[in-house]
Amino acid sequence: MPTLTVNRQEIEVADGATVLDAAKACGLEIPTLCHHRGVPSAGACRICVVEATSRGRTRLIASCAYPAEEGLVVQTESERIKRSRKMTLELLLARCPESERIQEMARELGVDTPRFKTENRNQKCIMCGLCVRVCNQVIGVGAVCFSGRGQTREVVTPYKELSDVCIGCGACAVVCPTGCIDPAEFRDKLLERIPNEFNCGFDSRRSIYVPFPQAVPNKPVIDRENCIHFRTGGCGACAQICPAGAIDYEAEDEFTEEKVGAIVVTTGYQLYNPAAYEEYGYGRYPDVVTSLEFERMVSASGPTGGNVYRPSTFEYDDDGKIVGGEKPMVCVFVKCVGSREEVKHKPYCSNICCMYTAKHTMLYEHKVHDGQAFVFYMDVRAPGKNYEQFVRRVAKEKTATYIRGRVAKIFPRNGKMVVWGADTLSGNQVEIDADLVVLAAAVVPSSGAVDLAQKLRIGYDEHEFFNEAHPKLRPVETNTAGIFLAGACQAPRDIPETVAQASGAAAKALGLVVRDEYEREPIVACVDENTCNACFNCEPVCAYGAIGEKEIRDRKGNLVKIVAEVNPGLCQGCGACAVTCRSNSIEVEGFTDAELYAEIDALVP
Amino acid sequence: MPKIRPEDLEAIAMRMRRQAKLRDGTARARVTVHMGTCGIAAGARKIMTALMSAMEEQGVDDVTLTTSGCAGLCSREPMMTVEIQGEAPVKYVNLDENKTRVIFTEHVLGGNIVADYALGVGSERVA
Amino acid sequence: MAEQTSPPTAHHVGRAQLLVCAGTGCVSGRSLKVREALLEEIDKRGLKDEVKIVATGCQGFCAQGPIMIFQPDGIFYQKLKPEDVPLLVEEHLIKGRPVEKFMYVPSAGEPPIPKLSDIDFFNKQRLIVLRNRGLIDPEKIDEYIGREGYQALAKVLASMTPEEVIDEMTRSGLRGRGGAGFPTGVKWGFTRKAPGDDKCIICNADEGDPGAFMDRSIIESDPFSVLEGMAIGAYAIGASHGYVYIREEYPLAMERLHIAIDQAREYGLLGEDIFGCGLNFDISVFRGAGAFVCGEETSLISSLEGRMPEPRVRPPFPAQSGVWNMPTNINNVETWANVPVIMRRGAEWFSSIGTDTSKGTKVFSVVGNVNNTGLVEVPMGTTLREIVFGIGGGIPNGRKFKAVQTGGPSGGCIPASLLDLTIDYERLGEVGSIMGSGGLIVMDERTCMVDVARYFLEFLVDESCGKCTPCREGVAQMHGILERICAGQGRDDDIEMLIELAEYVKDSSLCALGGTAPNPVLSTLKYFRDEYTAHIADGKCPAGVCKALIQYSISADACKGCTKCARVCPVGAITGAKKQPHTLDRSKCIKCGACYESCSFDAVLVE
Repeated sequence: MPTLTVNRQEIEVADGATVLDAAKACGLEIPTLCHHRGVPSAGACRICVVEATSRGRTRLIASCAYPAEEGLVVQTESERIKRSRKMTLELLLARCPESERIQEMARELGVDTPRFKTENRNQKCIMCGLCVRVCNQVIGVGAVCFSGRGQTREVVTPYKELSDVCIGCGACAVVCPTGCIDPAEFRDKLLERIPNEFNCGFDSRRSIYVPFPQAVPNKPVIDRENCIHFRTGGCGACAQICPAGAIDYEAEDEFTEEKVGAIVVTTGYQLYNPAAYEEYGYGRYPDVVTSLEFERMVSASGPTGGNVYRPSTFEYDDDGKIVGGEKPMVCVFVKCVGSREEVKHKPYCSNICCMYTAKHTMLYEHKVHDGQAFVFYMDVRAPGKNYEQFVRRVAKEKTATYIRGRVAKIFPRNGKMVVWGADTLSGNQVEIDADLVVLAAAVVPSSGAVDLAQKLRIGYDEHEFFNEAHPKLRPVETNTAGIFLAGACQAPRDIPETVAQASGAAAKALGLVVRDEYEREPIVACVDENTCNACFNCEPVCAYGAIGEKEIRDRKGNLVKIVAEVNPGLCQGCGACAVTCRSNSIEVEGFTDAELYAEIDALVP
Repeated sequence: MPKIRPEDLEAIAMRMRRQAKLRDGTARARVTVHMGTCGIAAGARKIMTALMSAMEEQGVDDVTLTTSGCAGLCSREPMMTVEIQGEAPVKYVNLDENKTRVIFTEHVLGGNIVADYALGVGSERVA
Repeated sequence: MAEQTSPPTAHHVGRAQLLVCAGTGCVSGRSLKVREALLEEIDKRGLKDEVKIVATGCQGFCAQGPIMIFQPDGIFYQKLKPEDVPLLVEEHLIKGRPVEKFMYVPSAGEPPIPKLSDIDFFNKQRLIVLRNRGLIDPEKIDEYIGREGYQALAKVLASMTPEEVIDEMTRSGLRGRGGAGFPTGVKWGFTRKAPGDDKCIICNADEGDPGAFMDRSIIESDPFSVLEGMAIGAYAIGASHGYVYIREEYPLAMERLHIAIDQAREYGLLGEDIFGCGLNFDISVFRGAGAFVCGEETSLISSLEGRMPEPRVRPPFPAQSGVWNMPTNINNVETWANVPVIMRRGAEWFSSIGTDTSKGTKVFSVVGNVNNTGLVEVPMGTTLREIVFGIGGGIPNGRKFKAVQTGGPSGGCIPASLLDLTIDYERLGEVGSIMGSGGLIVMDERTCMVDVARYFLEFLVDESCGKCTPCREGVAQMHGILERICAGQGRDDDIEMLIELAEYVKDSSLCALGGTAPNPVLSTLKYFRDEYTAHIADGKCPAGVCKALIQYSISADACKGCTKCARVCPVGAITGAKKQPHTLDRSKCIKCGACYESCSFDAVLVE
């Protein structure tokens, strides 16, 4: 822990600290250019010079790189320092007259126009080498280096060929003091795009990202699959640059165990993959999109910034952001893609498509004023409050032409998507040259719903929607006590219905947990601990997960045996376990074999 | 070659000493064999070889061996001149290898002029 | 007659040895061809057993190459050509008559000097570092041992502790010959005391100064002295490995170094358990790609580690953390070559040579407008006058001495008024120059000092690594200003701006390259400011060098009509009949100066 004197103030600093650190600890500001907190210092630009006296000699030293030595006497303000810094900036300004950072720093020191001229090759680079150091010493990649020396020095890739080692981490651009580095210029190929899932893969994201704008908590996450650090052990740029030091590569996902009294299942839905309709060409033709993809496009915070473009004409910048495209002048919406199709697809009505398609036609009209929208429909179902009025408005304002009938085929021709369909009202065949086709795909439960159902021991139907305990009387409960349902995991639902059901489920759950005592089913199974031999055949047959383990111990606490145990709060008294038990050790209370035989004996003398 | 130890240095140095002396140009005595055409014809080359062998055998390192042209007394070749530092040069004539060895041992090393073979002492006056 | 002559043995030395210089200077003058011719001639005449031809390292008198010393007679022959060999052998070897024709003539009209020891160039020198030059075959370790080689290492290993060695070095007063003049013993002590399991020593043979070739010559003529010095250093410092960082442009030195290392290894003088005293030390040769900045020790380390040669901020000094973070001691070739002599003869003997602050001798490569260019070794405290006029033989063509530039490109120019300056580190510093590694460039009256400053800055602009702003940008701006002045476009405030920039570059640069880069400008401004003013204010170049500022003409009075100038003029700008005064057509003249150089009557005028 060396102690040194900075501007007559004694200060003790940590081992390995620099003079710059010491000055900062004293609250002094020293201008820097080639210094960055996360990168080893080089003392190259000489802006940070201060006067340092040791062993009777006073010299100008680069404070960013000079170690804070015991007994060093440092002066951060003097005529000599000012003269040096001023000249450094004058020379740099002569080299980089266009750099705003240099202009600004020079102005602060009273240099407006330099007295010198330099033949510039790069109008902004001050050859400080931060990019080279961060790439070589921090990231460990070495995609950029210096070539030449002195005046011919420049920042290049090795052999001035596009780099195939650049990992595109962008650390060079982050540390560059004059903002003159574009890592895209170094790479020999576009970096592998990581599709942004939230934007349906239209644009790309980095391997450290905030999943979506309203994420809770609104914090970045690292995508291990794609993160260079996890793939190669290198990079680590985010950790170097994060001023809060919040990046922790060691952190692991963990399982947390909570004991709860009630569970509300709200796993929602996903869209049926319209690729199942091969004739629609979804997945083959970029201009055939799902309604969700269209929804992202019209969102102001979406991949196109709220602009509707034909995906085949997306223009990307170097970061994979969409910056332009062609507006679709003819847009065809196809409803019931997958819904109400008993033979090959889903027999049920997806409930929400009619309304959102009507909304989409309006949004499309807002975004593309002179665009033309067509909607192919089977029926328009608008049974909610004000729903019919909304659909009427669409028809009245002629934001879309509704065509009753199915679409037979979609295929590209001369840059357009040709939609062949039937108008069943007029009995005509319809052909539309569309720029964009939006498929209102069916609502299906989220993948993994079956796994979850089995885990929670709740029922599900043939379409994998979870079953309520009773369609009319117990619509938010499941057959398993304490587990409730809300939203589209149970059936296709729109937002108002979902909110109402969720409120109901919440109330039911609360009803359970606020009570000190609660009533259970009177008829439950119980285990005869004397005869149970812990084969646990009863466990898998219990649909409610009511079978547990119980340890039987003697007075000294020694384990005597393990037996099955019935959780009476969960048991619904169905008796499946009693049937299964080979030793007749588990029986339904009040309906034991002995009781039943006794009854029979009494009835049949 | 084996590794050497400090004491080996001396042996190597001894071996090199004659050479070093030769290059330094410091010598106690100087023997000049007159090797003009006449001298060579009369056998001066053998005299030279004999002298060199003698020096080699006896490890003499402080004698300079040199040649000169004809000494002017062609009839009595082969001839040589022995100069011991600080003394007048002595010319020997009608030499053969045996005589040469005797002169080398007696005069060059021993310091005694071999009068039997000597022509005279001193050199010509140069104007 | 019995066979009395025994065949010559392997160590047969013969009666005469011809020491042919095989240093780079002489080799480029075809000295190897001379050697071949000699071998052939001697073979032809049957003298093979009597006469030995030895190729030696540089003898220092490079201006006169190829040279040869005829031993034991001590006759110095110079400027030999292969075709001269038969005559030389016939006359000197057969007939014993030294050949005047090939002897050194100090100046026209004077009698030739046959003996090496009588030539001023040689006899005014004092050889410590170059003690073996021309006397041993640099490719034979036995010859080095024959001249007390490895005695010092034997003594050190047998009778001294490392601390005693360092103390002896410190007391000897030897200072780093690479330029900075840091006391060698103290430097060794730092590295010895630095914590670290393994340590490293480096011999800096990256001689980058234009016109300097001290280190090359030392390695070429006596590589073993460097190896022995390094072994002693390794013992004192506690290093197990040494590197010789040598520039790729020195193929001969590199070859000799490799041979020397191989021979030393065979003798066990490098490797494990040297002399049976438990010292383990080996040396590798690292070929540098020859950037001037590699002379700076942190750049050298960076280059040695395989990175771009760039200096870094010190501390940590190499003594604390050098090559691969090992404590590292770097000395240059000349420093290492001094070590064995100091150890053998003692600190007291060494410190008796030289001045109060600078002990021992210094090797200079004397080049430029001087008669005897070459390598000279003189005691510290010798005057510049002695070197330029005594050893160097004065200025050729009867011209006047103007200045001497010491210390390589980042040194300063010292004017005639300071010729009696005694050379040591402090005195040179006081007059605005540096010792540097020992380059010494003599300039005559036809040298323009602004042009000289411009030339050196051009070199430095070229060689600046470009890491720090002052050196990269500042020196380039200074060079631009000097170019402007030389082109006749100097501005009134240019001198002020030069001084401002020079002070800034000196003060703010990262390493010594930048720190000393302004020296050529500052020293010429100090002593020759009137030349700058003449360029800027009067539009004249007093020395007649800067093309934009001069005009050639022919004096009708002085011209004898010899037609020499008309013949050399590449553009035919000079016309005139024989024996009639010539005229020069300025519209055609490209100011190449060929006529000026060629005229024997000083009739070509420059203004």
